[in-house]
Amino acid sequence: MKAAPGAPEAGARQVALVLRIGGGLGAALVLAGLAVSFAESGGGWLHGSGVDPLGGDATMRLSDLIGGLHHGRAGAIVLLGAIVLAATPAAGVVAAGCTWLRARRAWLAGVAVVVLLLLVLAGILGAAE
Amino acid sequence: MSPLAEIAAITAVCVLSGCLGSLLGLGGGTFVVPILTLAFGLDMRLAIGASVISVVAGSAAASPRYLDEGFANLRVAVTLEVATVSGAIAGALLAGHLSTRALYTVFGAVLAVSAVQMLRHRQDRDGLAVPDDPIADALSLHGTGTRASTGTGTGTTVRDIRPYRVTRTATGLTMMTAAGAISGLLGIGSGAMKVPAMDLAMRLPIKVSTATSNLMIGVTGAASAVVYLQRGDVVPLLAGAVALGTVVGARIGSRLLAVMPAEALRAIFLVVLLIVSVQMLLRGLA
Repeated sequence: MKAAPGAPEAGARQVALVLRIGGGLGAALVLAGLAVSFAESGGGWLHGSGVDPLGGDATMRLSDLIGGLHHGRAGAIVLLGAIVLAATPAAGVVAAGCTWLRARRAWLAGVAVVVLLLLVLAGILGAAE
Repeated sequence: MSPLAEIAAITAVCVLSGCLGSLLGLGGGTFVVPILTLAFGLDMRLAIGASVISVVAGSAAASPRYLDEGFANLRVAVTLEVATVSGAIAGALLAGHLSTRALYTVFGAVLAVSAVQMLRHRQDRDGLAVPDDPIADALSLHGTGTRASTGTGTGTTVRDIRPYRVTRTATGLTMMTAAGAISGLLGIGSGAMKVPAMDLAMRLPIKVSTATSNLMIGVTGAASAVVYLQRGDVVPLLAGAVALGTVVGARIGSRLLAVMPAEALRAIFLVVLLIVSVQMLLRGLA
């Protein structure tokens, strides 16, 4: 099951593909959100009038996402991009775990499951804060 | 400075930090937080919130190339992520209860200790015996890595590929828990602790260590990012600008790793760590 010297190991290509797709999608959403925000309040951005887009008043919570998207807020689009980016590594772990499971490497697949459970725990504890 | 100029400047600076972060396995956050706070005068907590997103983005941008080229060790990364993610959750939860000055001081101290550790163990350890490790054997963590790429004069590149054995996995897991806690606490990838842990304790080659650190940083950062996003410590436009710059820089850095001599990489790593740690300590203790 060992890869040839210098060649990608089992599961590496699948994880790389997942990271490329997730990273690309997340970055595209962030870029789109920034473009929409500039289109909406370009004057404020140029002259510094209105709410500081980089200040503490512009923070958003995960729970603001749905409402923000519903009202077409540019910040919500950027936030969605950030969420896609944050979920991408977890998707990579899923891809690695599936590959190891297919290759009957139970210990490694088990380790991947533990990592995913810890990420779920992070979400639960973060929401409880 | 107008917000537009500020966003453009932040994005441009993050290209450089993303490049260095990916090249050195630091993840970029090590530079992003000092830049946003020291150069742009932004609030420490908001800088950390933006940094955690950029850490994940930078990892996702750089890691595919490292995986394709066989630099990153996926088995080592996922195994150690158990420790880093546990630590990151604890660190991110703790961050909400610490003062900004305390965060600066911890940040600076962590970087200084990492730099000193690297400085003390600069010698090449090729040829030294690697102790057996039952955990590494059971999980088949050993691998092969590219030590250096050299031109042949005919335009082709020859890679010096050598097998390596992983050792002291338990020590690595312990150190990674601490690295994860610092990552969650400060919004950085903690590559400054992960790379020395793999390089010095687990005896992975420096390039494998930096590439594997880059891959791990994404998962550790994701655990922290979830907590920061839930808590409302993220300014979307700031995080977006930082993430975009980091993604572009990380892609550039991942291309440079294959051709960068290992000793030069280690030297850059040390200098950068020392400069940033002094700046952060001054801010925290002033």
